[in-house]
Amino acid sequence: MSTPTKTEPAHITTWERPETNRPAVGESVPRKEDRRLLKGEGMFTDDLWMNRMGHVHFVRSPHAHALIRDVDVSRAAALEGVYATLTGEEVKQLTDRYPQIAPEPGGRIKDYCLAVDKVRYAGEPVAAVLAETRELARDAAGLVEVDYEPLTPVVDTLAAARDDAPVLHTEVGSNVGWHGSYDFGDIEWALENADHVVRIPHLHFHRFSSTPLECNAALVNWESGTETIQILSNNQMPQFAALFIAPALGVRSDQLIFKSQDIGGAFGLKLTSYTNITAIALLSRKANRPAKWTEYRSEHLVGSCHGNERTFVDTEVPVMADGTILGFKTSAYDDVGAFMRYEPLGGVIFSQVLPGCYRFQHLQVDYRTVLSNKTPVGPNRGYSRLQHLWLVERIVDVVASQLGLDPVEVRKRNYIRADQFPYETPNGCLYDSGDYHGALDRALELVDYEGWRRRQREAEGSGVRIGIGIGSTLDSGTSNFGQARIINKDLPYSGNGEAAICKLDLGGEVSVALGTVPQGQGHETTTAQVVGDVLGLPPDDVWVQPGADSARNAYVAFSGTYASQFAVTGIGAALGAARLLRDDLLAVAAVVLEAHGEELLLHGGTVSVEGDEDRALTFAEIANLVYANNAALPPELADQVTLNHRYVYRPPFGVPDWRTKTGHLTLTYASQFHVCVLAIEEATGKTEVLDYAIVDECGTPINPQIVEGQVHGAAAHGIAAVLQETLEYDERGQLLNGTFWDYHVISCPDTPMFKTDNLPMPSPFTPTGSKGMGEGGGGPLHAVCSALQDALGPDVVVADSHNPTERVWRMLARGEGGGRAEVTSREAGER
Amino acid sequence: MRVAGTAALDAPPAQVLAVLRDPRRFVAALPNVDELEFEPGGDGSFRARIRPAIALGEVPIETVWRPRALGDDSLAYAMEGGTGEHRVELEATVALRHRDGGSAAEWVVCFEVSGTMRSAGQRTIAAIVAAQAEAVLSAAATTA
Repeated sequence: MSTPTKTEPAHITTWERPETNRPAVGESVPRKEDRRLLKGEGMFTDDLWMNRMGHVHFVRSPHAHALIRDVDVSRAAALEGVYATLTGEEVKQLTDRYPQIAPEPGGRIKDYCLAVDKVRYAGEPVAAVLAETRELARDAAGLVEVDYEPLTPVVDTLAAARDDAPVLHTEVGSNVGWHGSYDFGDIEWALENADHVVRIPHLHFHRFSSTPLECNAALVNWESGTETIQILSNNQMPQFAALFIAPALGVRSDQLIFKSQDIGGAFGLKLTSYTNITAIALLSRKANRPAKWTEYRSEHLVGSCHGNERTFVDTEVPVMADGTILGFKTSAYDDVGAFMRYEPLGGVIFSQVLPGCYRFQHLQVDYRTVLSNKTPVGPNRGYSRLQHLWLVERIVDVVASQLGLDPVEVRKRNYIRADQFPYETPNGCLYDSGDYHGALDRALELVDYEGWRRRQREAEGSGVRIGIGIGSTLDSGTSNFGQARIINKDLPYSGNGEAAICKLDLGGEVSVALGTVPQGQGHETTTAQVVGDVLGLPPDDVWVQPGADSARNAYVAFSGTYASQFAVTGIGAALGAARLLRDDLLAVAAVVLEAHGEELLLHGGTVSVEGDEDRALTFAEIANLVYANNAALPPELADQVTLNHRYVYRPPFGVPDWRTKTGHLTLTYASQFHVCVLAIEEATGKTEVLDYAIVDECGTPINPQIVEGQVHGAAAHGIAAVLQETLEYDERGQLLNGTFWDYHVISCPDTPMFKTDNLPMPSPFTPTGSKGMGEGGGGPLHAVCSALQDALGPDVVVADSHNPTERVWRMLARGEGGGRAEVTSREAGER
Repeated sequence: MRVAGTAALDAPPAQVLAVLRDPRRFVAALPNVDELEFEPGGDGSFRARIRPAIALGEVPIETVWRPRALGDDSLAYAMEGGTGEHRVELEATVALRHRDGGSAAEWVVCFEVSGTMRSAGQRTIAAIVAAQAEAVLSAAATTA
């Protein structure tokens, strides 16, 4: 296992004369992509069209668990204008089951793009119809007759994990798809020797999701002549999708030509759309025409994927008298719905942040991936870490509440100190940089913490309770795919990477192609800032080609935008490619201008000799020499320069040790510190956020406004998750929140005014000192629950991450709806 | 979900029940039905295609209705139906008694909606069921 090494330099090499040319990095330059997006000129998948294309509608199961006795598509197929139909039986004949990330027993699951023989969640696609219009496809789908034999559904996570539960996948043998234990330090010793042990029997992190403006969509054309499959889609990680689609269809991966332009949000949910794309490809081949599918919102909510639901059982926390927390042990049951798909990666990804922001040394987590008759999960924003970080923050608050300690002081006593970075956790992860004490102090200052404590006391007896809560959270970014070996030692993955191409075009224009598949994070802008600084150009003069395109070859296996990594991997690749292009420009100019490289300046699309500006070459002249006039160059130079460079950024990772479950699982650790002040109306349980501060730290901000925008988005989503957004099932496995009528997405009127600040602590491990930060680490889930706990006091434990008015009222009025905790304390002198 | 209500009808119980027990006349009173087919066997059960409207438009659903006599003044229908992706089940009961030359009706409908319609259905279907129950009773009393 190698240690990440400090890269040199830890800042961007910008223009040659920074005193006269102000770098764009660090400036909030306007987002380039907004020019088209704000004018309604974006190009989304549903805007795309192909000659002769048909439209797809999926027939979805109304049952959560049932055998499929028969699927009769004859009435649909007979309808004029219907081009093709597809059933699970055909899929079974035409495709192989998808490869599984999971080892046995979960790895035995037979997962296809349509249900085969059995349905396992309400909303699972059973058949599909391709027709002349979208409306006709839907009407024809209504004529598909499916004969089901209902089975008993299993909806509750803990019940599903029991040996006597109805089994979703008989080939697995139970509903536990993966089981792993993490054990660091000596938790039994800590529990034995602590002054207090706090026990929390049950904590539940609820199921919610992200709601991208644009649902899933794909336009697929299986061209029989060229045997290529064009896939225009909003899948956010096409090469990952190819790893599933190509073997399932039995085609070469280079037959899959992925393209995307604008994507209206993804949040991790669009990683697993490969199932839909496979079915659409089969329909395209069958009908010999392009096939397009745009998901309805109701389909998206019931049939796409959700965030993971997790239940923590029998949590025990050893605490010393001074508030030092020694660690914790818990059993985690991660409910992944009906299929494994991206799982059980959640079973290792949580361990990137195993001790949270704290110096806990004794940690034990027994983790189970549980299958249930609910919609499958996907790696939703803050995937697997936010559930675990919520647990850690709940532990800290419950300890403070139960032992009568100040939650601020407990945190500060246990935070990793600024002088301890880079900090190695008990499981070998290396936190790169941070100042958690300073960031919390700043967040408390922003809300006037002491002032709110005073007002809290003054409000006592008024019928309104005020709670002040803290959420300390991490946004770990740039995954080491070697961590996958910890859940399946046979997976041949490790490290990470990203590719970019930077070139000078025929007229001297600079363009960059990325493999990162942006979904709203401003990649075009930040890339242009970085590349422009390297080449002496303003960002507007750098064209960053948006979206993905296999034909550009700017990708590696795990290209894409996910796991908070673009600021490291995407920017690292663009920076490397730009530097190679700069070297070409300087090499040509040095020969033509008869100057030494160190004499040359890059400025405004010109290379000139310092102090003798008449000796200069424009980028257009250099392009002419290389592309159209190369006989005028010395042959050895003409052979050397290409003005077209592909660069692959590779983070400095080693391979984690699957036996000990240790290693550098991720490269950067952005942090966020949230302080929430809320009021609870005692008579009704209604809550109102009165004040909210966020201090984030993500290393060197490339574009502070883009950073702040993402902080706002993550904060709004997190607040909504606590108070509004939940995906609830009835006992029959029917989703109760399948439309925006019932799934309450946050909007501006629901969002408090945020007070924000940024305290940069550059990462020593990344090319620019920047860290990925877009996911936000679920800070509001921690902070709002913490504020509720503060308001409710020690008699009730806020034991669920979702706390709508009704639950708050029940906790207040009846002592129901919350959890409890027990404290065992050692007698003085007993030790 | 359970929806219940009462209605005052101009026709006496026997006449209203005669309409409701005759599947053809019952279906004629049921809004949004466009196909009717009787099952062999003579137990009175029949198939009908109903067309409830959701956000995506009308959804044609094949349904099977089975009448059940509960007594001289009462009647029940059990219905189940669906498409490949939607499912509806209900049990409707109506009891009538004499009142001012007409009838006083008490009705109860217990129903379940499954599939992608579920979320919208739980919001809208109680009102739809209540409106349809009242419409059926009113039509039955009018045509009695």
